[in-house]
Amino acid sequence: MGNYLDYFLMTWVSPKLMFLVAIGTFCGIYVGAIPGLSVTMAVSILISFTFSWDINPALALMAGIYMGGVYGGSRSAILLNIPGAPAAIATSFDGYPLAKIGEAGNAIGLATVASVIGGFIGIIILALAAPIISEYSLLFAPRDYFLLAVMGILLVGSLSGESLAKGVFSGALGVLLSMVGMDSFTGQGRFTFGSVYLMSGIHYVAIMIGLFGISEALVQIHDIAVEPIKQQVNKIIPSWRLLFKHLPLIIKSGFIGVWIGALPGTGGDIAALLSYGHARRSVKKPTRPFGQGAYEGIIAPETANNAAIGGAYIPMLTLGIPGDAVTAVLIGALFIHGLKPGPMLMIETPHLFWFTVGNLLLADIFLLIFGLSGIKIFTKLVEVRKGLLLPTIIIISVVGTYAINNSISDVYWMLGFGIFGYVLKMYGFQVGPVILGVILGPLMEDNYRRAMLDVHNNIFGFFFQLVRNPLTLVLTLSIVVMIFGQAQLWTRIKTKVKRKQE
Amino acid sequence: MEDQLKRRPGEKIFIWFLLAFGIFALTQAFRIPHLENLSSSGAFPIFICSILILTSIRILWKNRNRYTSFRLREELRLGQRFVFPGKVLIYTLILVLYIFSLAPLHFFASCYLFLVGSFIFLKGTSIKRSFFIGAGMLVTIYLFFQYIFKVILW
Repeated sequence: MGNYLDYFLMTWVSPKLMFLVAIGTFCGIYVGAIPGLSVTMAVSILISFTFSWDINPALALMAGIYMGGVYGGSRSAILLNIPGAPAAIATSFDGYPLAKIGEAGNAIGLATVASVIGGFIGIIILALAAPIISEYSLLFAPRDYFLLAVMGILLVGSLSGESLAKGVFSGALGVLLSMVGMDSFTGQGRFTFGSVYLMSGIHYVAIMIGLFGISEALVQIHDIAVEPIKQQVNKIIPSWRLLFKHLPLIIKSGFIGVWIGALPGTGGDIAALLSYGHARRSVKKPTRPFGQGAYEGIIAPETANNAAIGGAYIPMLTLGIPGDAVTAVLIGALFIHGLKPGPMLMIETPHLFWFTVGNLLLADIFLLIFGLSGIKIFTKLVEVRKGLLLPTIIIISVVGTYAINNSISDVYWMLGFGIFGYVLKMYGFQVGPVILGVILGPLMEDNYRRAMLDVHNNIFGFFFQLVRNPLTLVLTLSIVVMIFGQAQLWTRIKTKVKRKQE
Repeated sequence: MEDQLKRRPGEKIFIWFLLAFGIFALTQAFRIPHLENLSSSGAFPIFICSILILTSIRILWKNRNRYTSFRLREELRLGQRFVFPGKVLIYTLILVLYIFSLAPLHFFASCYLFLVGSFIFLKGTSIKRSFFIGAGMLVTIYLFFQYIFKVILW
């Protein structure tokens, strides 16, 4: 126990690590708030820069960025009616109407405190549940990991785009990209076209930065002429009375957030929308009608999206399955530093888990401090012209990609994936599932092949295994339900919430 | 639900392209040697490529009524306008030019030209200020990454 406390407090007693969490949270808030800059983009780019660092400072910085970034989106959602991140879509429903009646400060204050409490709930559940799940996950067979990975791609596919087919295509494309290069089982080259260079595969950070950095910059060119809106914000600290009144809603939304965040592939965006829908149904007397500036319409989604962070870390640290796109990228960061997320992570490197919990909690505290201060500087930064911002993002993306291997070829790959990702986005494909596919691909294939070897390559034996064990059966049934029952769930949720909104 | 989504010129051609890519990848997957059992090197790639093909066909089939029915040349023209309208097309070309000038011109020259060119083209600031802001930005990026992130710039 004493050891765990030491690991937990590692960041708290180190000024350097504490500074990194603080700076990460601070930058995360701005990255999340500026429309067009996403947390996933920031973490992807950061991975390449922190490549030469020790793992602890790198994780401390990323935890801060993640926590701050998910919250940051709410600010532009409230002030500009442009959600800075998908997780803040639901916040704009009532946040912007509040800003229009001169209560932007109040809305930001509420969003900050709700996010901090949500984050705290997520961290507590992460600390309590992950060690138990980790022990239980040792019982998982290769087929279960294979099914979990399939489930992750299906979930993110059905929830993140306009159609399941497009989501699954994106996920499969990511898996295909992960297979380029040498086969880890046999050393056989695959999709290399005889090129020695391709034997080492395409670096996933180049793919990530291309898809999240360059493609997003190109998408933003479409709205380059839109002038930033100037805002006035004054008092933002909410009253205790208001907070106590909404405490039950905060707790319920926190639990929804953790649950949704812990499902493989789903993150803060879904959690926020579901929680908003729940608040609409359950709150009988809102402060104002929903959609016209109800405080409850800010509290519910903001609590849930930050609670989803703790939730997303649970499958990532215990099973090696990302809870959302950011944790998919974080898994990449752990791989780069020679660590393998999964059941053995907590046994082989127990410090990492408690260190992460400590980082997240500290980031949550910094979120409260930075969230309730410096609002005037913030409004100035959000007003930065895209014409200055986008070229800078591109240069940072280039430097980040080059830094992986000091190779210009990686930059060419990044450019290719950036332009391809842009075209994909223009035609309604999401790039999140591609990244999830790239990260989950090796895990999926390795476990598929192990499961096949277990049954001596007998396809009937393999299918029999999928229904024989109770745990495997549950996973198999979940996938079947997902394919046949939950297609276009994301669209349904959004439409349902919007319809109620109108 | 998908019928209610907006029509995107060129989407049909793009999905056909993705289908062709899936078929090409499948032929490559079949060429992976030692395809003798379900756990061999080529088995999983074949499975994944089949998913690419099936989902492409599914998208084409489901949207068959939504897609515009122009001639190929017209569809290509409209698609190009939709995905790469003037400003995006020119900026993409600037970006490609910048990336391919990185090796011959090295970091400082290529990045400075790109930054200044982008600021002017995207109207981020006035022409005069673009040169100063570009220089300031580049020096900041250089110092930041060279000394904090220890990135060796070329």
